[in-house]
Amino acid sequence: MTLKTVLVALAGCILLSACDAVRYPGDGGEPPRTPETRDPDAPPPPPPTEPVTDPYGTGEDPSSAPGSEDIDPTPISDPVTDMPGSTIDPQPAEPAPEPEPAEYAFSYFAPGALTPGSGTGAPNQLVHAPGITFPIRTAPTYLQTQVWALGGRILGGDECDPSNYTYPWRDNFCETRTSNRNTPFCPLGKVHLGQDLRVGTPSECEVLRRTPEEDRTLHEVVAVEDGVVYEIATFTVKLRSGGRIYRYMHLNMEALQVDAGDTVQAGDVLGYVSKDFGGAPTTFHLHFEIIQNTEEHGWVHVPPYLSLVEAYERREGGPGELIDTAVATASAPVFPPEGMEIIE
Amino acid sequence: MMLRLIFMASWLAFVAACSEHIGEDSQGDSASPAQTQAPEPAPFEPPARPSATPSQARIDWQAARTDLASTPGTVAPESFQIQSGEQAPPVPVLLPTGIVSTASAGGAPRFVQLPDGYLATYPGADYDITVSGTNEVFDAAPGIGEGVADLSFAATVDGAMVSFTRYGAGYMVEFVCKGIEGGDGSACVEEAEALDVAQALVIAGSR
Repeated sequence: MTLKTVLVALAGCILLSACDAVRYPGDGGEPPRTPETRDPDAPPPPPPTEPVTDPYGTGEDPSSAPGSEDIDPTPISDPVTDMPGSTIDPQPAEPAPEPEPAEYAFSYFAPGALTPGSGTGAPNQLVHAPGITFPIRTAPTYLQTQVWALGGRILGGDECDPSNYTYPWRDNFCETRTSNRNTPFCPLGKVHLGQDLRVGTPSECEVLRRTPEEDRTLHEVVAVEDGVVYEIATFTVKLRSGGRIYRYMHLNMEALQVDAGDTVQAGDVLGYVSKDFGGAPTTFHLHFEIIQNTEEHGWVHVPPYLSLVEAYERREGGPGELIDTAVATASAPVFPPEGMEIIE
Repeated sequence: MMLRLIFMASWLAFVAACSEHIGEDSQGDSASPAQTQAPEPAPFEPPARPSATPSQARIDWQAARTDLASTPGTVAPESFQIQSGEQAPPVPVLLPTGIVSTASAGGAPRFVQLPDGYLATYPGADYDITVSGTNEVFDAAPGIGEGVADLSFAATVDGAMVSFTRYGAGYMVEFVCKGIEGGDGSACVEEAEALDVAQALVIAGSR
């Protein structure tokens, strides 16, 4: 009986210890701890003894033993003890990993590099509205001229042509117009005071074309900053945010998501891309303007291009690739026919 | 009997020890997703580019108060609630005079006080007028020519605007044409008329 009792108790102890040690690599738990067996008050272990010159009493120097010439005399580096200041040379440091090459989210021509023949762009541009939200919520977007592209008044053709839905982007602030609209930021007068954004895909362009005007709600247009929607005009929505005013044009004015007087947050949907223009013909696009209270000129239209580049980079999560204009613009200039009015 | 008791006691001790470890493990498991999940990538920050920097204009409140004291009567429509004293907008409030807004013109005038200034909108028959005042001012790009004259007129796609500075604050009067066709809104207001409206603005509020 006593023996059985001892055996059973022993079995229990074995089970307990087995349970304590049931672990597997990567199980997420703490590694099993080996209890400290040394008494903390006990004296430390003795230092290692000096090397013995003749451990086997053979009268031979072990360094001259056969095979000892294979031993590398270089001291073995100990990563724990090779600290800065140590007399032992440290291991050569691992070279820092090369930063991965940037994966471009899109490409863009330099600010001020308008489509050849369409005008003279604004030089020395700043990011006039840093940190804004991109005005198109999710859809792919192409900044470019509408007048000098396919489907525009100069070239004719189809606005849904796939070639219109490609990068790189093009600035079209300061593009030539026949109406007398000016800003000190443009070298010449009679200019386009905003940036045009073509949105979506060629097939979506076709869908929009087949959709009744009031039902065109494919591409959401959002507030670029917190602010107040203070005016909704015939084809314009205006947002005031501090010393800046943002003007959005050609939205589907029948399907706006805001009213005049509404306070909005950056990213709130204002409406949808369309081509409302008070009855005048235009393409499916968003016309976007920034008016800013500047020290030198008061409230004035400023170039939106770089602010949009930066906002798109943030939306897409990657940098834009700046295209060398000198290489990429080997196309013949196209001038508007004499007498043609370009008011957009 | 004794043997059974000892066996049961051993078994219970074993189960208790295991359950304690399972508890620890499950805590470890609950923490493990956070440990094993890849961290959220930081939002992309665009490369640094030269940017316009804002500053706050210094307002000449003394001049504004002097002008307000010499203004014969209030010009604010009844629908406006312009605060006074420290509750007033951070720029002197300039408003147009002689503007008659009717219901058929699009409703009553609106006034919005903002952290940097104000907005006042007057619906009209041919065009709406909005007066914007702000104390936020941005530096322009270098080499953008001389400053503007006292009043600067510019045509816009849907109307016109007149910009000027007074008391240190920046003001803009916008004219938004109604019923425009063809997208050329500037036809509804001539430059002289727009400048007249801007010059006739009267101070209606100050700190």
